[in-house]
Amino acid sequence: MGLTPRDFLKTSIAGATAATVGVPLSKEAEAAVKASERGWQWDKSVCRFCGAGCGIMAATQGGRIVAAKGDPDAPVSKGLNCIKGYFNGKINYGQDRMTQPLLRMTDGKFDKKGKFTPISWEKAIDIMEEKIRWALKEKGPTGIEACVSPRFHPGPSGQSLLRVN
Amino acid sequence: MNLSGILVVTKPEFQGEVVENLNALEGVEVHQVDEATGRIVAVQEAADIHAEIEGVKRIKAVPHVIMAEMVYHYLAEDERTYEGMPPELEDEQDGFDACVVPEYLNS
Repeated sequence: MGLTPRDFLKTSIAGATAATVGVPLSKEAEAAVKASERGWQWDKSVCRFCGAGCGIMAATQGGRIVAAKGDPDAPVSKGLNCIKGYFNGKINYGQDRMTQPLLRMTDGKFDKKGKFTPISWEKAIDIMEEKIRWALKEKGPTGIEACVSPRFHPGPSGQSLLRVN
Repeated sequence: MNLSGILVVTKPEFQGEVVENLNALEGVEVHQVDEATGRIVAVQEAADIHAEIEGVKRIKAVPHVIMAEMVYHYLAEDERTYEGMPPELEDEQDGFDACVVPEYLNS
């Protein structure tokens, strides 16, 4: 009985799944995992979708992410992710992925009702600095609010921008 | 095409019945069973990410399934994923030119 490449791939996916959750592996599955992951590089990463920071493993081949699984060694998530976590690889490739800051502008100038327009990082940070300094001077510390991901809090860049207690 | 490895947990006494019901679902194949713990490893094939998520919900709704979660996701055959890559990321890894602004942001 011959296995099609797709059957083989599925056997290997099942094997990788079983190994991640500690289900004993059949010899066949173990061999399939080894064969189909040839040329892949597995690296550790952290899920970007919420503040929990679950560990994920991402496999790359030829500069592209080809697979993702939970990291059994991650103390936070112990090998499992929620359903969003497994799709981290895909957010790299979204057609609407932002690759630089956008500012609402009309005729080349900031305008709250303007259209989102790409600007340089330098300009974006200059504008943020200008606005934060203005708010601090006019309204004091309570005039500034940060709406950010929960992981902003312990981050060094967040701490140096806004001291959070 | 999306392929995922899914861990399904049931009580050992219902394992046979659950395996049968899972195999009857379109795109789902049971590959490994751990009789001692009631754990089942299934592989699901779905057309896209939405079908994939719906598929997991469908597995969770199978009688006697205590838990069903994705553990492994294989995306290499999902060409639409890579086709959607912004052109500036294809050409250059750093120092992008202006990115494309999605229409929905300005509508």
